Amino acid sequence: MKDQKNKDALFDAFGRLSDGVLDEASHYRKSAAKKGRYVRRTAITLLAAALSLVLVTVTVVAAVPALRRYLNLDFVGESNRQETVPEGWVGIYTAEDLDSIRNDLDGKYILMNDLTFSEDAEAFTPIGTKDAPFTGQFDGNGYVIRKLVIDMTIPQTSNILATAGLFGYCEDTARITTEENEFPALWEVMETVYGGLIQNLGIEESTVTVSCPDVDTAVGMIVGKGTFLTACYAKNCTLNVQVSGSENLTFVGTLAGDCLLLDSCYTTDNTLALDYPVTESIHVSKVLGGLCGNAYTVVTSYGENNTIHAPESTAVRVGELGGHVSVIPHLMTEAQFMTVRNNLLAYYEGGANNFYYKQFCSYFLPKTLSAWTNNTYYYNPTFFVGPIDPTVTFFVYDPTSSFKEDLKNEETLISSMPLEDFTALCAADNLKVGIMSSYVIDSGTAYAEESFPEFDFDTIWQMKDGRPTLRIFE
Amino acid sequence: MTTKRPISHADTGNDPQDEAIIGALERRDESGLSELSQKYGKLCHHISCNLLGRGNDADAEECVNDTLLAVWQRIPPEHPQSLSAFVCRIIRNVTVDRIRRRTADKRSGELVALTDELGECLSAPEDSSFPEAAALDDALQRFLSTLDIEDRVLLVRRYFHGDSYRELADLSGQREGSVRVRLHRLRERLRDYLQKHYLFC
Repeated sequence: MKDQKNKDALFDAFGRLSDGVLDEASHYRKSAAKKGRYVRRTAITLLAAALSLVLVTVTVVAAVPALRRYLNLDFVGESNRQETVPEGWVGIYTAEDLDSIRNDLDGKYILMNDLTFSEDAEAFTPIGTKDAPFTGQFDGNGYVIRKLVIDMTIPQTSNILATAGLFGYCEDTARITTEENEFPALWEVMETVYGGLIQNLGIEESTVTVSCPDVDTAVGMIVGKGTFLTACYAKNCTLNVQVSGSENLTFVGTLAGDCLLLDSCYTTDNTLALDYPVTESIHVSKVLGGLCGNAYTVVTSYGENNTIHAPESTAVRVGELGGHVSVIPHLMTEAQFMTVRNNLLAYYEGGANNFYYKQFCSYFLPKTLSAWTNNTYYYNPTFFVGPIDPTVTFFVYDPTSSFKEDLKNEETLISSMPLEDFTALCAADNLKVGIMSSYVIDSGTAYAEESFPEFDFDTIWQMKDGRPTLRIFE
Repeated sequence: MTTKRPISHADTGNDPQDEAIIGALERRDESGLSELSQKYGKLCHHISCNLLGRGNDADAEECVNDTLLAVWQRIPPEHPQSLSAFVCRIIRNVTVDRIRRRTADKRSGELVALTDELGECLSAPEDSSFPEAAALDDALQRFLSTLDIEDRVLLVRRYFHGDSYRELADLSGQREGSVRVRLHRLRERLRDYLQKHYLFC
């Protein structure tokens, strides 16, 4: 109740603003704003020209292999360890090296040997927070971290998001401050590639224990709230999460609590447990999964013998692979976006609630390679593999949409278009969406390659003891 | 590059029509009410509908009528420096009071959404050290003065007027999604400002 009282107090404070502030807002006209926007757009164009980029928007045709490769997010490629530290990367050899990553959150790091934490080591503090995210890259290089212990009690006065894992919070774009409304040079963000990417990392016999107040929470062994995880695994790990309330979102997953993409990963013999005071609720707020809690895409991965303990409640969603994996892609081509949008338009013409239509369409924000609307996010044009077409426009699902909004949008989409049709539409453009080619396997069964038809056994996987393992770890 | 523009006192004050309205009200001339209704009735109705939500035109009309009555009762003795701000405050308060008198299951979704958004500005909603109204008013006013005009207008139009994201997009010439992101970041800045300057944690 105090929560609502304080919110009301702040809302009421807006009602007591000075005459000057209120008159300014009442009399404001958009002509001034348009001019400002024009100035910024001109600045974008001038800078882009200086960097030999042409800002022309064209419709994407399906046969653009570079775009498909990007949307496939084919990070996984190496099947052999790097014996020396590549140029521009920092070698990680010790626990102290690992800990020092937090001093440069934009750096690129590569693990050069297995790391085993001693029994008397202090609990590890997750790298990266919401205010200071990890935007670099971490390559496990086929090595394994063992006996990592994360034990956190998050104070009652904490901010609105609690994250825990080897990495707490990762972000995939350079965070550009716009406090001064200055337009940063494009070249300042050119080096931000695949921010938050974690790959080729194994984690075993490790524990994460988190006790937190009723705030949004994301917990995983490797990352709490992450971006891209590829070729990672977790084995014999334990995650225990205790939340003191029931209102806020909790995402718990063996590898990641919340992430954009999980590709070519597996988890075996791990235990996840969530404890919170259960109340009657129709809204899903607790999401747990054997691979990840919440994600946009899970592809060519599997889970085996993971145990998940969570209270029985309509608010809790548990999945052996993903607790919730979105049916709406993080990224899509213009063709797909327009198809989805047109289907929704047809649906809502029947007189459905316009409010939901407006919300849904606003979540797809057109994006060019140079800048995005409010100059807040940038994407690096070198995302494209092979020949680069800098004029391509694609669409990104609103990263600021809430989980409730995501669920409502999915319901809306599925009600207007059968899920299998939408999945087929994405597949036609080679776009991965949802859970694809991923499996739950039985501990007591020996499998053959044929049981995993879409797995890449040439470069990424191999069969060992009747189940797939990642080549880079052998 | 846009620059921060301080709030100028020259921006406040009544135009001649407002002064004429106030004069009529002070003389207890009911034509003042007609003039007031003509000039500010639509704005009042807009603010009230924003907060009440769709399908509440009848309630909004009642709130507008209550507002006109309140203005009649308060002028004189009051002589507002800005009739526009004076009227807007009254309609907002009248509407919010009406909503809060309702039972929980009939509360306006729009008001709930607005207060929930502002909840993001509270780093410790349960904390007993939340400031008194005067300190909060001062904090909010000071924070707004640090913003440029566009950001300030967005915040005020959203949390005073209750304008929707679509309306704010039309007003600012931006896309709706951009407005959402911008307001989200402004709420974060307000939270950080309150934390830093007013030790609300």
